Amino acid sequence: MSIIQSVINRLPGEQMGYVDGVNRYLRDRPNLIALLQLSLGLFLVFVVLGVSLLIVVFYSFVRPVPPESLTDVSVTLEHYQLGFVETTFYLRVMWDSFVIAVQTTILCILLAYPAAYFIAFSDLEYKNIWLLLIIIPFWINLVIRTYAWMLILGNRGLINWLLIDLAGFVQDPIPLLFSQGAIVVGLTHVFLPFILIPIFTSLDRIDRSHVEAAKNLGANKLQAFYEVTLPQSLPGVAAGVMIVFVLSFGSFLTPILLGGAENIMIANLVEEMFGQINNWGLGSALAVVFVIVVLAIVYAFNRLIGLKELYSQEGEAQ
Amino acid sequence: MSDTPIVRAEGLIKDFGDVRAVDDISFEIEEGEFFSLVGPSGCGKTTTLRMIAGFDRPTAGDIYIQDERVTRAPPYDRDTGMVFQGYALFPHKTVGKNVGFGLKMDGVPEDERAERVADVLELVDLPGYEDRYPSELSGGQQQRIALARALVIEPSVLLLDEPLSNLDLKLRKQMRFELQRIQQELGVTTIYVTHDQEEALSMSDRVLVMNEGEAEQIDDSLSIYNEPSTRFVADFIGEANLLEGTVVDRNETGIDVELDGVGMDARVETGNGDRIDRLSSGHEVTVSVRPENISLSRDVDGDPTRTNHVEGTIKSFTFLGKVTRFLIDVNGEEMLVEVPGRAGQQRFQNGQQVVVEWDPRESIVVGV
Ligand SMILES: Nc1ncnc2c1ncn2[C@@H]1O[C@H](COP(=O)(O)OP(=O)(O)O)[C@@H](O)[C@H]1O
Ligand SMILES: [Mg+2]
Repeated sequence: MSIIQSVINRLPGEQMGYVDGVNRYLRDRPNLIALLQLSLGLFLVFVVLGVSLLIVVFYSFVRPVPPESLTDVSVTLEHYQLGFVETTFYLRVMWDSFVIAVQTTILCILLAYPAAYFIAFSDLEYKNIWLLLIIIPFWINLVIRTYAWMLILGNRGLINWLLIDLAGFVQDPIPLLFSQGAIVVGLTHVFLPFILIPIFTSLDRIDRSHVEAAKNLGANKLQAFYEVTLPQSLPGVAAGVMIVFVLSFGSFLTPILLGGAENIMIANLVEEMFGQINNWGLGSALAVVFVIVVLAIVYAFNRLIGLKELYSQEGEAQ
Repeated sequence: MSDTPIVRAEGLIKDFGDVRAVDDISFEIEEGEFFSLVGPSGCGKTTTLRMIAGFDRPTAGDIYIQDERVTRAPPYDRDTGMVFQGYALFPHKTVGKNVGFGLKMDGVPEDERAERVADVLELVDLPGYEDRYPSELSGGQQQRIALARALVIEPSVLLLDEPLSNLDLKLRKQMRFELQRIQQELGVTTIYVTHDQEEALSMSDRVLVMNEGEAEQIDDSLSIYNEPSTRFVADFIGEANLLEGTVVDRNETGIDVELDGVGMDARVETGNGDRIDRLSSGHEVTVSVRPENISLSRDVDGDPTRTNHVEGTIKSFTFLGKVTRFLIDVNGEEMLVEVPGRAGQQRFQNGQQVVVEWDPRESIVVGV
């Protein structure tokens, strides 16, 4: 006999009735049970992700960090003051990171859209295989792929070798590696599939008769693309932009390998505060501001694009 | 004006790999005509229409719209307005923007556009729907919008690909009249694709019956029904008893045919065009008799001189309201007979011996 059962059996009559009532209540409400099960999952996610985030928020507002005991802490804004009032250095790094993320996103769109368009609108028989062929290289370990860019962009790398030894265009190597440009190239490489797939999916789903209808009504290829194909693929672009932007904004490894000491991003700073300088308070303040900035951008972007996504969903319903 | 056809197709052929979807189709369509392409699914109707619109390039043959050769012209350089089977309304544009699209591509200024859109929405009985999205409309309404979008550009020819096939039966019948009204009101030359022979006959001035990519017959609705030129047309359009036989005699008014299957001699006094004149003794022919042109009688021992009669047994019958349909066993062959009115059912029962009889003028040679 289970423990619960034995406990229930020992309950006085009045409480027995109560347990029965709860049972009946739950039986009559299957949705409630589902909700309870769901909230268990949500609760675990919250514990794992939410609590750690809460600790960071907590650290950013107290002194000393980490606190020695819960009774011996005082609330303070000094970490924020140190990070964002006394110096513009951290804000500049954040701005640089933002610019890198925007450039990466734009480059990703420019590369992914034509590729996705070509695959989706071609007469290729096995479109998914072509998509896979583009994506397979991305299964190679991130560090290895990033090192490959060092081999390509370095002073004795592939590009400089071509320019100096083969073509003789220049005498001295062009400094390509350890620049913001190198970071953008590396990040673009890393995140390309994340935007290629949603763009492909949205393009592939477009009813071809819509394009034909546009042409029938006098639109040439370019007009048909601009009026019909492009707007209907925007939800896919938006989804891809969101992913690429957020991931590259917070990227850590690529700037270390390709950016060098000069070009760091916000995640590198946070890591430095926690790992090397041992200023957890400042690190936490940076992290909190960064998360707020990302959330604000995501929110603003959704407000801007959300409307269009609404149409396309309604369009599918018909 | 009226002597130059609006659309002319000459020997159109379209191959998809090994499949010949359209096989040597030619026709001419006059101004204001309602012309239908009808045939079973997969017979090449859509492909023919798409070649006219410019979405598929013919393997061979030529297409002329208003005497201009457009065989290789892109769709946007042809003066056609097409209603797609699934309507193909732009889901991200409002009804007003959908309908105004062709005008916008044409460079019509915005205020004139709005006016013409409003007019055409009035025509299709959906005035003031400019600001809705297609997803907010019912199937029938979407259909009207698709029609309005094709009409507003005032095309030389309106192309309709099974426009009613996605609607339920009642709406379909209603839209049939609606379409006819609009077509007549505007006098727009129309090519209408359907697999529904009833739809084609009831709406069209002329019908092209297609089968496996080939043209079986081009004619007005009445002739298609009453004088089918091939066995396929007789069978596909309406219903027909197709009886195989051999010509045994001929004179001025017609031919005598020995129908082997049902075991009788029949006189046939019509054939399509000059066909019957070319027949003489010994020719193998197919004779078509419509079920509604056959009468039944219980008078087995009646006048033996009457023409075209044969004895049979009632296998089954179904009361359908206006008519009763009988399946008659005639010497091992089945014949379909329709008797109008209530009398049909009351006078006969299963297993009964009956005489099947028809007028020589109501049967026709359809296959030689
Ligand atoms: N794009 C295509 N590729 C290959 N075969 C096609 C294509 N379009 C149509 N077909 C074939 O051509 C034939 C005629 O098709 P279609 O014109 O759509 O017939 P219908 O409209 O009369 O039903 C069919 O056998 C169909 O399978
Ligand atoms: Mg079709």
